Amino acid sequence: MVKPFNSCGPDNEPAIPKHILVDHSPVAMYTCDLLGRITYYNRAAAQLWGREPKIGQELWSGSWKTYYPDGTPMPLDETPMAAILKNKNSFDQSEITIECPDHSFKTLLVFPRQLFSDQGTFIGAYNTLVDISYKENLETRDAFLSAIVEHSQDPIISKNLNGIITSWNKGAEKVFGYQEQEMLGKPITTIIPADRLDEETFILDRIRKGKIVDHFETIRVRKDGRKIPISLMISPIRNGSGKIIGASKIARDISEQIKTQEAIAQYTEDLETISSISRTISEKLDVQKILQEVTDATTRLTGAAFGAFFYKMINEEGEAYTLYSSSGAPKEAFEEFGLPRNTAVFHTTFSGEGPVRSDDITKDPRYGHSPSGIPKGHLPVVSYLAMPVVLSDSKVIGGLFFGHPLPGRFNARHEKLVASIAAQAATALDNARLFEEVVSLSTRKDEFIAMASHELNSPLTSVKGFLQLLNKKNRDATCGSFIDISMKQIGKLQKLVSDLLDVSKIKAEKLQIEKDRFDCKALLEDVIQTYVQDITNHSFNLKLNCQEVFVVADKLRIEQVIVNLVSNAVKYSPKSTTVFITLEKRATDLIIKVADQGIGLREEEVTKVFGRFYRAEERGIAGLGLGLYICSEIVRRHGGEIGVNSEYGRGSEFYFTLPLAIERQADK
Amino acid sequence: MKKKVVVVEDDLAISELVRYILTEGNFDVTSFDSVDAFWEGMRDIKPDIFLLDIMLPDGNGHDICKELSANEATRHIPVVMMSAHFEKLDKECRFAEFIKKPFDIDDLISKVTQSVA
Repeated sequence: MVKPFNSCGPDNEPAIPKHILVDHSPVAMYTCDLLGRITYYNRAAAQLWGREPKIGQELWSGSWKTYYPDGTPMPLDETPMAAILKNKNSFDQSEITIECPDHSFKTLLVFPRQLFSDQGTFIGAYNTLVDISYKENLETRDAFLSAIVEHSQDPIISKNLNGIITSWNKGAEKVFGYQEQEMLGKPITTIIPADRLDEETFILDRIRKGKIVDHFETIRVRKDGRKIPISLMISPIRNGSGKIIGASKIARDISEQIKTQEAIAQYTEDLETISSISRTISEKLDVQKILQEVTDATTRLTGAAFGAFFYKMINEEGEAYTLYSSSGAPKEAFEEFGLPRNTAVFHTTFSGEGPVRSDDITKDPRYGHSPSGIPKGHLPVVSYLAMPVVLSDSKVIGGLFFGHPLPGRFNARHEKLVASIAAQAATALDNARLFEEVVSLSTRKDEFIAMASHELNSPLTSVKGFLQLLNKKNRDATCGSFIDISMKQIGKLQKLVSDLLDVSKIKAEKLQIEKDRFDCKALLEDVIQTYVQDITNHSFNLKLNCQEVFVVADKLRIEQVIVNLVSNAVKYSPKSTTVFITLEKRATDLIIKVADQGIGLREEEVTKVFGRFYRAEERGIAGLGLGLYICSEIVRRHGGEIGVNSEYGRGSEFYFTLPLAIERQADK
Repeated sequence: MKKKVVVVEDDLAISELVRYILTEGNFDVTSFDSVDAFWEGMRDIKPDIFLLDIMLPDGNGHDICKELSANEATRHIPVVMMSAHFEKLDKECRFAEFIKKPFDIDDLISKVTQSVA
């Protein structure tokens, strides 16, 4: 039996000095009376509970909440203190979990004991509380850590400073193929390839210095002798006093990672190749060059010994013919190869059935067998890959063929690569074909214009001449007016034919510019003067800001430009009466502006008016739409600039510039 | 005495017109419609002036002009060239005048007359 002690209990027995020791004891203690009311607790208890229960009021336990070790809540009257007071049973020790008001949890060992008076009367109980949370944490942590190490997929090995293995987990067993019992006590060099033994010296050296070896990528040998790429992380292990006693080593098998990296690198390279080829071929509009480019690139990519591209074309006469390019072997070899004979092997490709890939085509039933093996003159093809080149409308336009004298040279990746390029090639070839058609049509059109204008010119010349003769011979009032009208019409016809001729010359780059030095102001005045005679409905407002403006230019051509702009101004302003013409001499050039108050141009027309055959639409005004095109060409050839400012419904102002002639002494 | 003019022009109507104008202008006109016919006919004629169209069915007036300019016997005889468009003519072709088609008949007669004078 234990002697009771007291401090501030209700019984008010004389104070025992010993209680001061209890008050300040680091061991948590408290007492309850027979009814379970808390009669005393020391500071350590209050600290443990995280609160200060009310003396004489709270029952059995001062903790905020109490739980069984399995975590279920423990009612207050079932606490060990309550139990010992009710049942008078004495517990040796018992484990409980308490929750403090700040929601922290603690695991306690409790030691409740009954208290008896000197007379042996049962007067209550005292309880001693021991916080074992920290101990539990350590154990749990150790258990967790060993579980993590033991079951880690990655090999985790420890060794001492002599390189002798001291632990070997499941991951290590799996990756290196050695069991734990085989490896404990063995040197780590067991798994290091002979040519890498130096690494261990380096690693141990660093470990001894307390340094970590991180992301060390190397090769280790499995039990079966296979070498595997791994990434190592090695850290020193210290004992309780901080002395380095060994090393822990976490390895990672990076075979898959390396494979993936290689696959990604390969994929990226393939994509780059495809994109660079497609860029190259889409820039080209020449069929033969596309064929060659594609053949060379694909032959290189597949590692084929020889490659060829057969392309079916239809010429203007509707006859089929085949173009081809080759790589790795002279063209003649492919001629011997028997250009797309419709043999069974080729048929698959040219009918567009799909690619053919064979590790050994000589064993293919479709392959033409001859008793002596490969027919004479044929390329020694064993590995074979053929890819149809198909347009978007499913029309087969050709095929790509690759060969190698050794078997099994082409894989699925090659096939995929060639398929992508074949698709790009089909598009590029189709574009090239369309482009060739357009160019050929355009050339024929230009040739036609050149011929037509020349052919028109001959009858025009004679009609004009004879009309002139007629005019001289036989002129009475009536005939005279008929002849005048005819002459005027011939004049218009002559202008049209001459424009056509100019255009055909511009297209053929044969437009002649014969430069002379002349005063552009005088030319402008002359042209307007001559022109005015034929114009009855319009007046000309001429503004010239200078005396003379010399240029070195083709006088007739510049006259042509002025006449064109002025007659356009008249033609496109049927309801107004004035055309404004200004000439301005500037620092290095002159500018001539011709403005009308006519129908003007829509915004979208402004950029198009200088194009060939362009005409302001549906306005019932005659013309071929060539005048401004010729003007812009003439001005451009003189190093000048031509343009227009226009407002729809308000009128247009056309202008052009010409560089000034370098001044001579005499001009001043 | 009338001046002799040799005209090479493949278009019959133009050829007729030119013959008429030049005859009116007091010339003795001989015309050919091809390069071959011209060289064939040239064996018998000593003209005072040539009037050459440029585009011809079997060649061109430009080449005729070059040959005439290169030949001692003919290089002194003036040549007038005639075409639908201004052409860049070689320096070896030494011509007196260029007439653009369609031409003005007064212009034609005056250029030919001036060249032969």
